[in-house]
Amino acid sequence: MSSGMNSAAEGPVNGDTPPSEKTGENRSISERWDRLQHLFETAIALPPGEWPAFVEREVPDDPELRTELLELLKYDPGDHTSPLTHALGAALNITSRDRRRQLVGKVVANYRLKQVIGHGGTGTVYLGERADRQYSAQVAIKIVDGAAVYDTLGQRVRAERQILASLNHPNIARLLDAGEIDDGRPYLVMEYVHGQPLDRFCDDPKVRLDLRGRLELFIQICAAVQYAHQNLVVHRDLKPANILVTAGGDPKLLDFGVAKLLDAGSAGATLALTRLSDRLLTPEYASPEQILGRTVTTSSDVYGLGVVLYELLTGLRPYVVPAQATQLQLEGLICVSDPLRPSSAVRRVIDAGDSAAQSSLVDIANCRHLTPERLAHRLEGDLDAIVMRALRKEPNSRYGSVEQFAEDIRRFLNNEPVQARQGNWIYYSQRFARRNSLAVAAASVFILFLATFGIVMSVQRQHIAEERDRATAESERAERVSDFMLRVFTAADPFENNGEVLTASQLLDRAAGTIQSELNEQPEVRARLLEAIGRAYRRQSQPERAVTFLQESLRVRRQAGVAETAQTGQLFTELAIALRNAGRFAESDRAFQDALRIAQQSGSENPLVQSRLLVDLGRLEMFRSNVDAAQKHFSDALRITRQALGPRNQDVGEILLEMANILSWRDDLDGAEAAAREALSIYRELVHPQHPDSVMASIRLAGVLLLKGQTTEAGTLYEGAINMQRVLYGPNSSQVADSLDSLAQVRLAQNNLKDAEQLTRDAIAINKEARGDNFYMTGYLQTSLAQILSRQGRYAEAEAPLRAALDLYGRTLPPDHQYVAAAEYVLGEVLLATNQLSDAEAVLTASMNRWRRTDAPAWRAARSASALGEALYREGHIQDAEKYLLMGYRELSTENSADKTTRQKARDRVTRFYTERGEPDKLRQLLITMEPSTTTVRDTRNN
Amino acid sequence: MTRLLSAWQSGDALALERLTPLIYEELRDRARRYMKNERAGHTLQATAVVHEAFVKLVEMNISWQDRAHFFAVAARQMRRILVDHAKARYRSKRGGTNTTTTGMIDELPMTESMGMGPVTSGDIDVLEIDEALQRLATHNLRLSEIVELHYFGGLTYQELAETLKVSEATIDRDLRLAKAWILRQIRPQRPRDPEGV
Repeated sequence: MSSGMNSAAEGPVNGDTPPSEKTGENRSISERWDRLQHLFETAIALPPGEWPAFVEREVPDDPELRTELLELLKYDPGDHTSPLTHALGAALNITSRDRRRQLVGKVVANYRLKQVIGHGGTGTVYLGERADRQYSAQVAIKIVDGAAVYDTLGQRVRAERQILASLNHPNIARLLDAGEIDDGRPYLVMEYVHGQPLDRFCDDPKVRLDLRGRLELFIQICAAVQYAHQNLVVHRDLKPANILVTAGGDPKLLDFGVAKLLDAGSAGATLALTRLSDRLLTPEYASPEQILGRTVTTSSDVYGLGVVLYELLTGLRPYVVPAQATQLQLEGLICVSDPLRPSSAVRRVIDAGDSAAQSSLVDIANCRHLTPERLAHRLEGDLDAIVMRALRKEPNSRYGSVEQFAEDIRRFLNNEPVQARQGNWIYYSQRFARRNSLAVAAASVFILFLATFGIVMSVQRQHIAEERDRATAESERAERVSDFMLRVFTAADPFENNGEVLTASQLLDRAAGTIQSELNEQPEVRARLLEAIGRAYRRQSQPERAVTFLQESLRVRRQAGVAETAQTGQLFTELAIALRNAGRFAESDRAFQDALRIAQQSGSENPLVQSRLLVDLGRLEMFRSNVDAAQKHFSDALRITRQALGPRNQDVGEILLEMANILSWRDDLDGAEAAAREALSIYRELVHPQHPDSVMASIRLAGVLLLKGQTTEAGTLYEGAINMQRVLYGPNSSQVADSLDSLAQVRLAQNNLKDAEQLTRDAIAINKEARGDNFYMTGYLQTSLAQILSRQGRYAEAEAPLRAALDLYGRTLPPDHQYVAAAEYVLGEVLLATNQLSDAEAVLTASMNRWRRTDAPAWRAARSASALGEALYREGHIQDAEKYLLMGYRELSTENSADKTTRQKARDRVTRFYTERGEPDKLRQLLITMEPSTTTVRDTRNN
Repeated sequence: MTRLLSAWQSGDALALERLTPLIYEELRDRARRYMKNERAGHTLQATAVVHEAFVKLVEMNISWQDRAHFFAVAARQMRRILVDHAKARYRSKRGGTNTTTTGMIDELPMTESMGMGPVTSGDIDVLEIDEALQRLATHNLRLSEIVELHYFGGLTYQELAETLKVSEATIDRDLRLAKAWILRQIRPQRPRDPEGV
C-alpha cells in the first residue's frame, strides 16, 4: 500500500504518452494548449452566435484547432452545474451502496443479512433472518459505519444497548442483541417492523388518514415517547422515517440510536458525544439546542414531535435546509428564524404562483380528504397554536412534556380549549416592541384595555398623529401596532362576546392569530410590540415575564439586523429595570452599561428618542440609588423635550413627575411640589382627567404634600385619584388598593384612626382580590393595620392580622426580610400589651436577631431588644431583662434616625425597671452617661 | 490541521487521535458536495466510501507536507476507490455474475435523479472521466491536477485558489476549459451502458 501511495502522492499518473520521452513535441503541445486556452477564454465572453466567425477569424491556419475550439465551446457548461459533478455524485452513491451490500449474505449473530433496508448517518440497516432457520424470525440489524473513526461511536452503541434493552413498550421496536462484527464495527439486532414510515402510511391511498386520524395516531406515538421519557430515555432523532406504522395501523418507534440516559452521572461522559452525534442527525428535525450542541432533554423530543406533526398535518416541513448548509446557516435557520405557522405555510403555497407546488398541495390536501383552502382553514387557530408551541426555540417555552403535548391534541379533538393558545400570543408578542410615546400608550393599553377603550383609543390616535409628523415609515409601523391594538379592542367589545367580560389574557389570545399572520414578516414591528408587552409586564410587577419579552425583542431586533439606535438603548434600559426588579442585579448592570453606551453614541438622533432614553436611564439610576446621576438625566431630558415640544406637553409632564420623585427623595419638598403641580396642570389642560398619567400626577403631588404635612390637600387628591382609578382599573384593582393605603397614611397623619383603619382594611381586601393570596405587600398592610389598632388600644384585634402577615411572609419572602422582623416586633408589642409574655419573649428575640442580620439601621434591633427586656422583666428574668433594656436604650439614645416615640419608650422602660427595682443610682449614672444634659437627669429624678 | 499532520508524521500518536475526526469530517463534507442537488437527508450516503478512503489515508505511511498535499492524496484515493469500484462492477456485469441484486430493494433511484445541466449527465460514468483525465494530463498536467482536486478531492474554487496559490479567476478559467475538454472527450465515443449506471 505504502509504495503505491508514494507514487500516487507525486501527482497524477500520465496516461498513454509519457511526456518525458517527447520533450520537443511536449513544447509544441504546451504552446498549442496555451493558444487554445487563450482563444477559448476570449470566445466564451462572446455570444454563441459569434463563435464561428470568431474562430474563423482567429484560427485561419489550423482546421483541427478550429474544430476542437468550436466543440469545446459547445461543451462549455457555463454557469450550470457540470454534468461531471452529477456523474461523480452518482459514482459515490453507487460505490457507497455496493459497499454496504457487500455484507449481504454474511451471517451476523446467527442472522443472515438478507438485504439493505436503510442507511443513514450512523450506518446501514439490514434485514436479517435466523441463519439456522429454527424459526422464521426476521430482524433488523444495524451495522455502524465509522466506529473505527469515532471511538465514541462504539461507546454510544454500547450505551444504546443498555438503554434500549430496558424499554419494553408495544410501540417501541425492541432491541434483541448487540455486539461487534469481525472488523470491529458495532451492530445492533432489533425487532423488524413490517411497516411504512409514518408520512407514507398516512398518505397511502388505501389509508388516507384525515386530520383526526392523523392526530389520533400521533397521540399514540406520543405515548410511546412519553414511556421512554419515564425511563429516562430521550429519542433525540424523531422523524417519520424512524416511526413506522404497521398495516394494522400501530406505530412503532425505531432507532433510539442517539438516545442517552438522562443520568446526571454520565452527563460529563456523554457531553462530547452529544455534539458529535448531533452532526449525524437530520438537521430538519433537530431542535435548536441540538444544532447548538447544547443540553438535550425530553424537551428536544417535544420539538422533534412538533416537526413530525407539522409535516403530518401540512405535508410540508417547517424548515427547508439546504443540503450543504453550514453550521452558521443551520443556526440561522433553525435557531433564529421562526417557521411559518402550519396554516400560513399552506396558504403561502396557495398564494404563490408556483403551479407545480400548488398541484402537489392539492395532492397533500386530497390525502387528508380536504381542499388546500379547507386544509389551511382547519389548521388555523388551535392546531397552529399546538404545533407552534412544540416548535418554540427555547426548550422551557415548549410543552413541559410529551404528555402535555398529547393532552392538548386530545383537548382539540374533544373541542375543548387548548392550552397552547394560552400564552402563545404572549410568546410571539415577545417578538415585538415599539418606540417612545407610542410604546407608553401601547404598554398602558395592555394594562388598561378592559376598562378604558374610549380613552385609550383617543390616546392612540393622538400618538399616531404625532408619529406621522415625525416620519412616514415610523408612522406606518406605529399604525401597524395600533391597528393590532384596535383588533384587541374589537375583540373586547362586550356586544361581540355575548356580554361577557374577557380577561386580559383571553383577549391577548384572541389577538394572537392576527399578529402571527400579519406581522410575521415585520420583525421591527414585532420587536416593538414585544417591548411594549415586556414593559406592561414590568409595570404589572411581573419582572421575570417582562425580562423574557424584552430579551426576545432584543433578539428579534438583532435577528432582523436593526441598527443600534437610541431605541435599542431604551430597550436595554427597560431590560435593566426589569432585571433589577427580578433581583438579577449583575445582568441588570450589564444591560445598563449597554444602554449607557448607546446613549452616548446616539446624541445626534431624534431629540425625543434621546430624551426618552434619558428618562429611562434616570429611572434606572434611581433604582441603582445614584440620585445625582438620575437627576442629571431627568433635567437633561426635560430641557431637550421642552425645546422640541414646548413646555406644555405630556412628555414634559411625565419627566416632571420623575423630577418630583427625585426632589422629594432629596428632601427638596418645595421643589418636588412645584414639579408635581406643573405636571398636574399640564395633564389637566391636555388630557381627560381620567387619563392614567393625569391620575398618576395627582398621586405624586399628594405624596409630596403628605410629606410636607399638608394633609388636607393630599387627602383630597388621593380621594379624587381613587375615584378615577376605580373607573380606570376597576374597583378591585391593585392601583386602587395602593391609593387607599396612601389615603390611610393621610388619615393617620390627621390622627383619624377610625378612617385609617377602614381604608387599610379595604386596601387589604382589594389586594387579596387583585393580587391573590401571595402578594407580600398585603402583609405590610396588615402590619400597618395592627399598628393602627394598637394606637387605639385594640391590642386583642391586632394579633390576627399580624399572624396572617407573618404567615404570608413565610410563603413569599426570604426569612431575614425586614418586613418579617418588623411584623414580629409589632406582634411582640401586642403580645406584651395582652400579657402573653412567653410568646412575646419568643417573637421579640426572633425579631431582634433578624434585624441584626439585615442591613437595617441598628436602632431597629435595639427597639426589639428593649421590648424583649420588658418581656423578660415582667417574666421575672431580671438579669437578662436589664441587659436587653440597657442595650436597647443605649443604642436608641445615640441613634438620631429613630423616631422620638420609640426612643422615649425605651427610655421609659429602663427608667421604670430601675425605679421599680429600687436602684435610682444606677439609673442616674446611666442617664448622666447617655444624656449629659442635666435637665434630663433632673426631670427623670422628679418623675 | 497542517500542524496536526506534521505532528502525527513525527510520531505524535495523540495528534492522530485529534486529527481523525477532522479528516473524517473533512472527507465527508467534500463527498457531500456532490450530493448538493439531492434532498437534505440523503447527503450522508457516501459514508461508506468516505470511511474507506479515510482508513486508507490513515494506513498510508507517507510524509505529509501540508494540507494541500493531504488533499492531493485524499483526492487521489477517492478517485482510485471510485474507479476500482466501477471497474469491478463493469467486470461483474460482463461476466453476468451479479451476486448482489437478486431480490434487493433498491435503496434509492440514484442515477435517475442526476440528469441535470445543459448536457445530460445520466450516463457518464466515472471510468470515462478517469480516462479523459488521464488524457488531459498529457496535454496539461496542471489542469488535470486541478480537476482531480476539484472533483475527487471536493475542493471549492476558493480552496483551489488558496491551495495552488493562484487567483480564483484563474481557477475559474482553467476549470471551465478543463470541463469542456473532458466532456468533449467523453461524449463522442461514450459507450452506452445498457443498465444505465
